[in-house]
Amino acid sequence: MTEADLEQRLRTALSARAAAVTSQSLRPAPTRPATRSALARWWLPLTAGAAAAAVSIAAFALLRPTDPTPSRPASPASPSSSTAPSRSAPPTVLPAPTPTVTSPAPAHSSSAVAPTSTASGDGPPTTPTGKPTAEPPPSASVSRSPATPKGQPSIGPTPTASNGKPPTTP
Amino acid sequence: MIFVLPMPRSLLRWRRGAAPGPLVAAATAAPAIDELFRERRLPLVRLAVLMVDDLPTAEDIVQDVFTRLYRRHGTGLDTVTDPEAYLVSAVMNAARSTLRRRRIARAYLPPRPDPAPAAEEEALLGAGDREVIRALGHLTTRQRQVIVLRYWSGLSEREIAGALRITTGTVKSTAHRALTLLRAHLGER
Repeated sequence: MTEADLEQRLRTALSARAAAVTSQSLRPAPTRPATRSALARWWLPLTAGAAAAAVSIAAFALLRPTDPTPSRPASPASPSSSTAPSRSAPPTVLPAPTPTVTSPAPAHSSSAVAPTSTASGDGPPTTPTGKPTAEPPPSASVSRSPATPKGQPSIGPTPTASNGKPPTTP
Repeated sequence: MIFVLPMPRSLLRWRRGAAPGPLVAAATAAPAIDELFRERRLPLVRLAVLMVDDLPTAEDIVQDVFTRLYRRHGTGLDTVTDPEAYLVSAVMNAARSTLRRRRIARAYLPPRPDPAPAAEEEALLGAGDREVIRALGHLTTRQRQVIVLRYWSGLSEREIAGALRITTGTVKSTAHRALTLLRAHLGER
């Protein structure tokens, strides 16, 4: 077999083998998807999104649950209003009828002065003078026995029945 | 009734990008790889078939080559000097890798009977041609590459050397050894 014969056989065999592969025997080539128009690419998603948003908002507005408890009208804090505060009203809205807060110091002084002036029975009380009395200072007597009997010297604290014995009178 | 709405200008600007020059150029050159695929797919598959003797594997090789080309150079192929030579070289390298893997797999797997040739191959290939193709299987991968590129693709020795990244002298010596082996195999029968 000469060189030329071998080369000729090679060319023939290779060409025949390659010719056995045709375009029909290949897999279908991947086709490029058709380019979408601007309508389908831009405006359709935008419109769909806007429509979905509108539907959601409308459904919320129409189907939202109503409040079961009636809404109480805003009541002013003035006491002249005829409507009584409801039970469920917060305590801060309730108008305070009278102020009850008093300072304790003037009460003690008045209670301490009043028995002295009334027990004497000498008429209207005069101006408090520096006359010494047998009573203890008001701050001490008020805390234990607010009222002392007339003519009874209250030098010390009044014995009480705290120890179970009846008080003995001298 | 179809209403065609114009595309918003902002979307158009965004689509074109801030620097319209290269992107527009790439968009105009985008069909380059598509045309190359349409024109060169069948010849490359045939070239791969001559190397690996298996049509599905040859199709996979060509597909992988185009995928790698697209990943590396994009659609424009502006940076590729000669895309066809690049493709031939890539197909040859991929076929060589496939044959190497096949050889390793055959070393660890039990031998399997050769697949029966297809009916069209039986019709198209004569007995002498099948004998030559069978004799090609006894060559090394490099020898087969040289023979296929020389006697089917019609490349010169310099082009073969460029495609396989070997010297011209190596091409000559490899072709000579391959022809000697083929003659020996075909002369024995």
